[in-house]
Amino acid sequence: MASQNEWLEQQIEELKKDETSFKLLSFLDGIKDINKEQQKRLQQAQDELDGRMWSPDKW
Amino acid sequence: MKTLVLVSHPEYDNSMTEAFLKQCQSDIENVDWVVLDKVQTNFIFDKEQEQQRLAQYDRILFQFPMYWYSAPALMKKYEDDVFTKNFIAHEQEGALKGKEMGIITTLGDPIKDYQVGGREGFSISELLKPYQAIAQRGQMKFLKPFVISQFAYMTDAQKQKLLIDYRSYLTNDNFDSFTSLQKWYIYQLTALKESLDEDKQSRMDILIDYLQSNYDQLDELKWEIDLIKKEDDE
Repeated sequence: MASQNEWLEQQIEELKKDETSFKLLSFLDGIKDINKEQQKRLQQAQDELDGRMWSPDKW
Repeated sequence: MKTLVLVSHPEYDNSMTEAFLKQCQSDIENVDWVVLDKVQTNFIFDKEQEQQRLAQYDRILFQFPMYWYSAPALMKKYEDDVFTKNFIAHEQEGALKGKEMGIITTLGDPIKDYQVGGREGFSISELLKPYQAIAQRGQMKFLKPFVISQFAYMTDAQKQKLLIDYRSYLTNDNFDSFTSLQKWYIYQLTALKESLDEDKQSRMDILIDYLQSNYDQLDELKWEIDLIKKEDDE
């Protein structure tokens, strides 16, 4: 996860280079927030799926 | 979707917040920005003209600074002049039926003051009841309000977030849903890509693909979970 975040940050920084538009910079930085929420929900969904698949009711 | 932002601010030309918000949406084709001060004559609005204007939009947003727990006088005058009973009431003409109504309000005080036990003691939702009542009478969908608190103290990072949230409030069909936000965001990035040079366009493509693949994975996991839930129910 840490290396994935580093990769994302690096990609965003490359895109921001020499750009001055406040709108563009805002949307580029905002990618990090979207990604953070996606990663959180992916983890939660994966955990829920694991939990439901291994439910003792089904043993 | 077409959006109308009706702005009322007694110090419009000197307001940093209004200047910022105006700039935030200036390039969006389906959003029109109307300053009430500029469309009134001697504190009177042209009822026919304004009613025709309102009828053209799907999302109608009132934007104003909170003055003594209410909108500035000109905004109220607009309501009084333009919102005739026949025009609004759903059992009569109900010209705005099915449209969305939302409020964008700016506060000089911290938002934390506006709640039970807070310094102001009333929540923004309570204070905006008259608007909700109008929307209900016209069978309009009343949106969650968009509140900007203490713009003057915002950092650059907070202003960046404000720009995105504000544009989403104006143009995202369902701004309150993360599923919709992701789709909307990817669409925004795709549009922004056009302004970049070739090398950066391919870099942007990589980021768009990355967000899209996260979105698809989430969608698939949700589908699998729903399937198991359904099986459990049976």
